[in-house]
Amino acid sequence: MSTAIDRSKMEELKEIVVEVLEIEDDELTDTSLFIDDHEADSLRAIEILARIEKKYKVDIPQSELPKMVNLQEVYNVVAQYADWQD
Amino acid sequence: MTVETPDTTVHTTQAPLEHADLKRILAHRHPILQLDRVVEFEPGRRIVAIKAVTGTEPCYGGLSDDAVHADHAYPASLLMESMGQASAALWLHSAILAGEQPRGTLVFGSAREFTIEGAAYPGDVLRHIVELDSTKGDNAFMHGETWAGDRRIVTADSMLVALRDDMTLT
Amino acid sequence: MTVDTETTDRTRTPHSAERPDEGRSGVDNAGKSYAAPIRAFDTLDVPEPGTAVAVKEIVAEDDYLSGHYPHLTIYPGVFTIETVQQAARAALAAGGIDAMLTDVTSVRFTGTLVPGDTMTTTLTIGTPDDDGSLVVKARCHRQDGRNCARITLRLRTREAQLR
Repeated sequence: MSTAIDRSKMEELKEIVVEVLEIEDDELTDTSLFIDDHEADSLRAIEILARIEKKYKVDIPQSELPKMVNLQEVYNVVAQYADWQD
Repeated sequence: MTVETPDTTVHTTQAPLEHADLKRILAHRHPILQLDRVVEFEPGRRIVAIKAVTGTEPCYGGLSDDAVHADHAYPASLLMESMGQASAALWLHSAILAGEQPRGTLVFGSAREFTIEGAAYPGDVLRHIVELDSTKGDNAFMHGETWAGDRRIVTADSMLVALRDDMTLT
Repeated sequence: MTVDTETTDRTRTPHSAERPDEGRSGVDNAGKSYAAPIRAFDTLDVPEPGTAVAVKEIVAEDDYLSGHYPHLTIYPGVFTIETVQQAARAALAAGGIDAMLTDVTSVRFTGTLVPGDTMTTTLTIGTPDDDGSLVVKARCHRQDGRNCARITLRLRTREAQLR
């Protein structure tokens, strides 16, 4: 799963995460941790998941949530289910 | 007399739920059961629920004689509770119809852009129109509107309602 | 400055009327000044303009709580919003501004409150813009330090709504 990152997709995901976590754009990096660095909780995680599913019309099982700790990991999970790899 | 085959597949938009039905779906009770009747129901998709506002509700008790008309606006918190309950009824009744048994305590998880465009007063009948966006395990996302007669008074972009076993919420 | 329910007189808060014997008679005109489900804060401290700290003890006897729920009393999430808006309106009223809630921009509940709990709400209250609109941000904590809610509201001055 180490395919090249699609930067525009990454930006779209960032937009969702920033809005749900109610933080500024520059506070969130690819690897800053939602829970430890941005005071996220499980409700926010579910909200992020639901928004991604709606936007990309994919179904991501809740069991993937624990993996989605930062933007990079969110990208990896979504890429897998939305078939972003080539 | 013709005996028609019972339609077991769909509960169409013509399936009202009375107050007694709502008490089987929701754990809320008097005086915080903020819905009177469901007038339209499409499982997993949409609900139209009504709630009559009256001056006898506890929120109007002890109101000063100096209070002007605008001070009698139905409290936003109760508008939100009422719409939240319509959302919960949509989700839980749909789950029950689908043969599931929802368990746990219902909690309001989050909401975004609940905009109050107008006010309701005693004598108004609120009409909540709520649509289910998605469900994720014990969490459901909805959006909706509230009308008082022909005036739209609330729009809600997103509400998250959840069922939890314990009281931690997280 | 401390705005206490016993001492506040004519500020626009549902509390000013908490004189239990008189407030319920229906003829006394010192009742709450706008419709509200409960008195949603016990004390309000305004250390400086633009900030406020409201404290609310959760009691099962408050109106509406008997039905939420019969088997287990939980302070309804929407009443936490009520706490924030009542505290914001009272703090603004103390500064001569009469404002009403127009938008629950964002609310997130992260901890439950039950009878015996005490909720402390810290508010940051903006100043009205040209349109009379202002933003209120609040964080609510339980006595054990746990976060209960994070709330952003928008209020608008009544003056602006009338013009």
